[in-house]
Order: sequence, then C-alpha cells, then structure tokens
Amino acid sequence: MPILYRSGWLCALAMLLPITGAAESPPRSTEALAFNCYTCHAPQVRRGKGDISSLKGKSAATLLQKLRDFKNGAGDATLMSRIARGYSDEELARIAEFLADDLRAQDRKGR
Amino acid sequence: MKRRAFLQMTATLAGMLPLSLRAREEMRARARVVIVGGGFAGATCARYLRRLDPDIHVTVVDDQREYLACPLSNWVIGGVGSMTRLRVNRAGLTRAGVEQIRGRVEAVDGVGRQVTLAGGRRLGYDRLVVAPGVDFKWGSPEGYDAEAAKRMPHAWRAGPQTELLRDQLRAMKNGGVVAISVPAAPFRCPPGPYERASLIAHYLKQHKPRSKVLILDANDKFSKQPLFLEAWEALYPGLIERISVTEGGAVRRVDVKTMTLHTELEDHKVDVANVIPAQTAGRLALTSGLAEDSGWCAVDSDTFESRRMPGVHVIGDACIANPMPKSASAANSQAKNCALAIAALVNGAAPGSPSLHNTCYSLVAPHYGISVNEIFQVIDGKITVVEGSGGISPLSAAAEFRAREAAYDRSWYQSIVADSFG
Repeated sequence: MPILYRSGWLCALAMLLPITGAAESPPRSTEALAFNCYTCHAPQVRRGKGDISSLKGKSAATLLQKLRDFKNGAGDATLMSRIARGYSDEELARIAEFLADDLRAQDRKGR
Repeated sequence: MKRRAFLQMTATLAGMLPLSLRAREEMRARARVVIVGGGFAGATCARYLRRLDPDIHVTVVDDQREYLACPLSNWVIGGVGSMTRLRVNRAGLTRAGVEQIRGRVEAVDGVGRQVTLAGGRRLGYDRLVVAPGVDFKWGSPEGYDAEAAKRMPHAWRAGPQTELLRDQLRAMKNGGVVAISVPAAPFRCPPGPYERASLIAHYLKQHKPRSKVLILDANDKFSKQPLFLEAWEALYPGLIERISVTEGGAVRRVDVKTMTLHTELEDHKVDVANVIPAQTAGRLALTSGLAEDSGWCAVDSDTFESRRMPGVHVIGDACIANPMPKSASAANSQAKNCALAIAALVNGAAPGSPSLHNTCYSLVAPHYGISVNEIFQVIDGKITVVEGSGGISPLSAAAEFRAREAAYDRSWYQSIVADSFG
C-alpha cells in the first residue's frame, strides 16, 4: 500500500491538499521513476557528438541541477523540458540520487 | 506470504543439512517467471527482473531466433536505412542469466500455473508474463488476408514485408500512386503510417517526382498531426494527399487483382498499395482467454496483472493501457513497472506505485525529426498523463532543432535496443 494511505489522518490531510498533478497521487517508487531514464540513456551505449547525452560519471547534484533547469525551461532542451515537467522537485531529487549511485555501481561492475 | 515462510524454514534447516541438499532446497525456493514473447516488452521485463532479483529464474519463450525491430522499418521503406539495423539478437538476455527457449506457447493453464508449448513441453511458473505483440485481423478490410499481403504488403511487422514494400516502390513508374490504408485506432505505432508517408514522399521526391502518396485513413485525427502537416507543406508540397474518415477515406474492401482500394465514396486504383489491417492482441492472448471482446487485454494499471487470469501479466501492444500508445517505448516502460511489481509480489511485498513514460520520434526526412512524449502516473487505478508534462515538439522550430531531433531518433533506437535486449 502506498505510504500516503497508511494512516487515516494522512489520508484526510491529502484530501485537503489542492490537486496539483504529480504531487497529489500516491508516491511513485524511485526505481520506477529512474528506470525510465535508461530507455534513452542506456549506460552501456557508446555515445558521440549529436547523440542523446550520457549520464555516466555525473554527480547527483549535477544531474539534479540539469533536471531543474529543464523543468524551469532554462537550457536548450528539445525533449527534456517536456519530460522534467512530469515530476515534482522531490521526485527529481530522488531520480538524480538514484542515477548517480546506480551508474557508479554499474561502472564498478565493469558493465 | 507462503513463499516467505518457506524461505525462512529453508534458512533454518539449511544450517543442519549437507551442502548439496541445501543447494537443492534453495533451487526449489527460487521463484519462476515465464515470459512469452521476446520483443521490446518481454525482453525488457526479463532483463529488469534479473537485475531486481537475481534469485528469480526467468525464462523467455519465443518462436523466432532473432527479433526484427519495427521502429526503423520505415527508414528501410523510404530508402534511408538498411535491414541489418532492424536485426536484434537476444544474446544480451543470456548474459543477464535469462533462460531462452525457442518455441511456441499453445496453451495457458492459469489454475495449474503452467504453459504448454507446441510439441507438448510444459513449463510451470509462479508468475507468467504474456507479451505477444499484435496480430492482424484478416478480412478487415474485406478481401485482405495473408495471401493478399503478398501483393499489397502491410509491412506492419518488420521483415520480408518491409523489403517487399520497399522493392515495389523502387519498381514503380514515375507518376504512380502509392496508397497507405490506415485502420481505425487502436493499432501498433500511432504515428507510424504518417512517418511512412513522409519517408515514401522523401523517396519519391528524389526518384519519381511526378508520383503521389495517398493516405486513406479510418481516423479523423492522428499522432503529431500539426507537426506532420507543417513538415509536409514545407518538404513535400502536393506530394501527400490524405482523406480522413469523415471525408470517406476508410478503406472497406480491397481488390488485389485490379489493385483497387474501395472506400464508401470512391474506388482508388493504385500502383502500390500498403494496407495496414486492423489489429488485435497476439494470437495467444485470444486463444488463452486473456483478451476482451475488443481483442485487447484488460490489466491492473499498477501491476499489469490480467483482469481475467490471476498470476498472469500482460504488457506491450497486447494490453489495454490507455492513454499510453502501442509503442516500443511504452512497452519498455510497462515492462520495467511490471518487473518491479513481480519482484515485489514473489517476495511477499506490496508493489509500489508505477511511473510510466513514452517517447516516440518520427523521421519526416533524414535530417528532420519530430517527437511526442508523455509522463504517466496511476491515480485510482487509472493511467493518467501528469498534468503539464509531455506534448509534441514545437511548431515552426528552426531547421537546427529538427536536425537535432533526427539525430536523437537514431540515438534513441540504439539506446532502447540496448536497454531492452542488453
């Protein structure tokens, strides 16, 4: 069960909150959020100029800054601004943290 | 819960047993997931299950040795890509520890939790994933069947049909008419027919400029419509004509002998006829009782578990996941969320809330790409687009923007194949 609905008072509180897209639904799991990044940013693909960028070796802070910029319309995204608007700031932070850790771990495994 | 209790018992006993016996007990406790279909959905689910829990024994059953991917098949038809790029081998699944069986699943026993392969072999499972893609509804339009497809290719499954359509275009005279018949939604790859029209127009413009593409459409609106219309106006003026369903464009009947496509209002005698037939979920979904009357499979949006058969999950083109399109990208995302749900369920945990995603690029010309994207969440059991997210590429963008998206299209394909098949 999603954490939000575990206790009655939280549930009642949730009903008082305004409906604001991602914020009001049950929390999406971090893995579910971050795995979607690998569709276009699969770490095992060698990438060159003009390709979809590699995420390898980037810190969580760098990734989060990028994602926030995309969400706010800064930077020169073609698609990422449309994607980043689909997540709350809290979700973007979890995604950045997960990706930085996971890509480091995969690199160590030599994949 | 039962499984967890069993695991605990095994662990307690393990200390007292000789090693060989302990190993045998552990083997027995491993959850078994069988996946039918090794396309984008099935392969992704297999790889991510192994990643999430290496204790799960994963078997993929598919009757084809290699997979021929659809996403770049329009490039081949338009003469801007080769067949070799569509070939995907599944060696990456083996590297991920996935067992692969070449065969055809004939029956699903949802109560006894086993599948039967052609030839009689049976495979037991704790969880079954059915990812059979689509099958064609022969007879829709009337007169269109597997035999007719030899003259009027559908080219909606990559392979010999792709080459047939390409070769017919090459053999056609300058001044010929190429018709594309589009079925009523839902069908695999919603922007596909229009990308195809674009790349055929690209080929004709260079080699047979007096020719024409005629889209006979059983729909009014279509995917990325404003972007396609803008691009056609700019790149292929007068080369592409479309007749929508309200204008009488839906093809009701085909006549292979006279190469005629009959709509309610007109008979179109054409030189090349690409007839995309109506579709349903893959055959197994229909024969095993997983599909609704609509021909598609209803699933729980949180886990992709069938609404008709507990313990069986349906992902990819075969499942009903509106408003997600039937695309490789959607299949890849559904597969990951399904893998997360299964990994939780076989370990006695509650599945988390999914996060679903779709990104589809279309190529209008070699250096002119456009995209559509959506981010989804599940609210009250319904897949819902996150407000404010997604959408299509901007209209009136600079040539440089379109060129970047064309390069990203190629890069996207390379990446999704690696992510799905390893």
